[in-house]
Amino acid sequence: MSTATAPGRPPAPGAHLARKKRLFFPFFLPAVALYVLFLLVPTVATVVLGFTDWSGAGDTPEFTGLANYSELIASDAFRYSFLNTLLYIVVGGVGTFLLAFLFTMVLREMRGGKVVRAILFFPNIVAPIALGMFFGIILVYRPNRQGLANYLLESVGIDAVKFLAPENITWVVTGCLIWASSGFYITILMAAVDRIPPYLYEDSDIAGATPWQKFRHVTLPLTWDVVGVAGVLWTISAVKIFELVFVLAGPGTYSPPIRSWTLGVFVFDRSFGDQGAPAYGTACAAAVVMILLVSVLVVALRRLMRRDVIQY
Amino acid sequence: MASVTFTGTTRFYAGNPVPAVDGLDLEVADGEFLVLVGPSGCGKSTTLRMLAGLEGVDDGTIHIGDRDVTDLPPKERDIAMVFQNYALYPHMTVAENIGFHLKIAKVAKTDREAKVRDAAELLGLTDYLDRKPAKLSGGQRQRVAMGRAIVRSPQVFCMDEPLSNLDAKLRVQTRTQIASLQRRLGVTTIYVTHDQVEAMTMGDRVAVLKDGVLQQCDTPIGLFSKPANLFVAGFIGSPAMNLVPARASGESAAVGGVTVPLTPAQRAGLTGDDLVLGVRPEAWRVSGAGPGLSAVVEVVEELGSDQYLYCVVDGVVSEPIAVRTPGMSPWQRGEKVVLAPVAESLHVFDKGTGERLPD
Amino acid sequence: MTTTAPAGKRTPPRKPKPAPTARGLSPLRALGMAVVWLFTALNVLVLYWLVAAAFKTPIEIFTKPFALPRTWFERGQPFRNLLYAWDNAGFGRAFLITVVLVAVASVVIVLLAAPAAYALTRLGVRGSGGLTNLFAIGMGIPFQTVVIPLFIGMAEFDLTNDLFGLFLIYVALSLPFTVFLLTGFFRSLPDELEEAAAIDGASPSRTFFTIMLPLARGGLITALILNAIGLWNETLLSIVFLNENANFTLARALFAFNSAASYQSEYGGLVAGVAIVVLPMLVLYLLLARRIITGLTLGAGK
Repeated sequence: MSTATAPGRPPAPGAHLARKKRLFFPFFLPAVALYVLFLLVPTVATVVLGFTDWSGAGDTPEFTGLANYSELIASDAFRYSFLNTLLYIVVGGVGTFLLAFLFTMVLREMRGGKVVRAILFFPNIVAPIALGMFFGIILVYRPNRQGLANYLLESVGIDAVKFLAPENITWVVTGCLIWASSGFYITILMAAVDRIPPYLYEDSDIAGATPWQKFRHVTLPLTWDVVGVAGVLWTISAVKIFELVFVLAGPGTYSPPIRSWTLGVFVFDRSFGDQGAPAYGTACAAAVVMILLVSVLVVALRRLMRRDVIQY
Repeated sequence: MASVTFTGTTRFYAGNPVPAVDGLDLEVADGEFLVLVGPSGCGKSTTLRMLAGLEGVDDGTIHIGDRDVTDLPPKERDIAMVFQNYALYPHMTVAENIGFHLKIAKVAKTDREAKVRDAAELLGLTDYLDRKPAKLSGGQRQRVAMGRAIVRSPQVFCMDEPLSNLDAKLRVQTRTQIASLQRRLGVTTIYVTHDQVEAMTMGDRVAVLKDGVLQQCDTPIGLFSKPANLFVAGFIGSPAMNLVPARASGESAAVGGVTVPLTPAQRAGLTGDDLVLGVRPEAWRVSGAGPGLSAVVEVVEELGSDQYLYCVVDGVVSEPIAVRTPGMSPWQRGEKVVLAPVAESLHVFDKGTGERLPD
Repeated sequence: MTTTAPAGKRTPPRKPKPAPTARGLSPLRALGMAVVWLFTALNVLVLYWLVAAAFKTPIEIFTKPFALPRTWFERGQPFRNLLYAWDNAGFGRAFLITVVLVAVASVVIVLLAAPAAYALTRLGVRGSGGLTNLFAIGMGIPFQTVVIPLFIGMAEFDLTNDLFGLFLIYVALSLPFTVFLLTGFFRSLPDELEEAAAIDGASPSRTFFTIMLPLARGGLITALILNAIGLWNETLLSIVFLNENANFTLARALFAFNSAASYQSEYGGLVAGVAIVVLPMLVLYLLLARRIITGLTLGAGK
């Protein structure tokens, strides 16, 4: 006691650390309380509700076991939703990353590259709903009053395409997705490429490496970690695609044709869509599928990408 | 093997009206070890990078042997480069690093492995072939970088300050290793350094650059004994040559009680009356009294084998004059001494142009 | 043997010659260049189209997509579309609501996240790493998976169709990303200043407020901006939690306007609505592009 804090002397470092630790709960609790209350508890509730049949206020949730899940498997709407979501994650992801890789090869030595990067990045801070409506106007098919895309096609003598028809919409959304997100991934990858020491590229120049060989032997191995993280970010964001599809494929206020659905649209349609009584149980079961899909893909991606840490 | 010839080679950088390398004319003989030396920003690295093809050439040409390589991409020049930071690929093992250029050149795998093994043996790296660069010491990394150059058996080695990242002791060891390796392989080598000791000990010839202009290219002995101008005189030698301003009058030059005879050739070369006498630290005779510059010993550095005195000479030079005397000489700090230059090892420069006056 | 004679004054070339390596155009590089420029040009074109179309009549939008707007200018009502969206479609009120909601929510988010991030990184409490990861996992939870229980729970407290309810949800759901972002900033701060403050006798909370917060200012501002952008664009939650025109945020108003406008062929107003949502972001982006880009890509780059 007597050695700890003599009056007028600063406390020993140990004492200071203990005082610091006392700050932990007042600082940490408010944020974590909100986090638990608004994110963790609802997630658990969703999992529980996934095993019930419930049509909302006035009705009592009734435990039905796995009935919701077998219903999902039998449902066309869900099958389309699941496959489309997977397609956006995989095809959109591959497309986005291929484009980003191609850009890293060129942008590294290009003058004005910073400006190009900034222009490509911009769609990332535009609301997906605005992007969707914007594409809706550009891609509209209406003889004599075509949207921009068909206007361009017709002006070079190609027949206009019904971009927004159900049979094409998935691919159109994939294209829009790649267009809107590649800037973000280009920026992430370029930040990693910029950290690669330039003399490694100079040595490959002396070796006579082609751009592909430089990418294969220098850029890719040295940005592998970042590519892995970017892949996880892509998966997380692609799994919840909703607004873009909703406004692009449909009339706007109620759900689009089921061929174009994603899991996000499915959950919304079964819970807050304007058609009939909500089926909260089914919606929650589909939401659980979303979480499972993200978890499985993220874990798989991390395993696939794992390798030794690189030290310079 | 091949010679290397720079003819009027010039390099500008964007936004700078002063060339980084200005009309370089330089010929390096087949198998020669040439060192490019100079202070930072003098254009020595730019010269090397132009030779390697990493830098464009704005004017003039570069030949390797009889081939004009000025506009050829690096891989067609048949050169190998050792970078200051070694440029080892962190994700490849030592063997993969050494063999990387062969792999890019599509050399068959067995052939490649044999060459890598030979190079590793030559450099004492056999035990480390499976390690990643991060697990190697600085000296080992340097040797891997050398191995990558050797394994290509190129016509020319380009080395960009390859020892500057090593500690002092290792640098001395590696210095002799590289020099003897080069002599054994007989590959024409251009070696860039800012360290004049490296330049003097390693090079067959040394080219001194300043502000993108070649000052002098000669053997180490030639540079030391006949520096072409004041810059080379001050740059080569440690401690640096003492430069004492003097005035010519008639057939001699005088400074503070010292009179030095000038040859007719020297008198003819003078552009004015002002000249500079260059006296190396070992070319002073120190005595207690007699003719010469009277000075006060300000600092005594005792190294055992040698002793350096730094003497203040009022009114003649602003910086103290460095004098080398045999180790454990009796001179004391604060002592009054007289310094007299040894006439036969005196260098005379014109003050206006900075050029050496002919002997 | 000596060459000091000043070589005749050389005139620098207008552009120094590139290295021989950069000259040869390999097919892959050529393809890459073409795609990069095409892509960039497309983005610029699209942005031009959006701004121009906000001042056009539907006929102009569809028949002369690249021409400058004329008809509304000739009729002396150049801002007709913007005014239509602003007044008739409720974007004016929605704009004000969104500005206030986004500003207040972003500030509160940072006020809650900064102490939490500080506690997780600099107090040396055991288990901090695990708790940080817990927040990081929260970033991976899609909003769709929490929105149903949230809606039911908020209804219990009469907080649906209520801007305060939406505010609470925005704050809570933005915390994982913000805490995670700020832990990165706090972790990168040097220890010495904190130790110096401790030696000077400053209390830990005083150290936090007077030393660490100002040091992390860059991070806090970045967090503020990124949250503002995210919430400005947020749509799903506003659709679920707001159903009265009087409460609409911009994204919600745009969503409601979408079907009505296309039904009436009010494409001019619709594009103007899109422009009202997008252009403030464009202005923000022009001012702060570097900070936004590095902030959004920070977590991934480490």
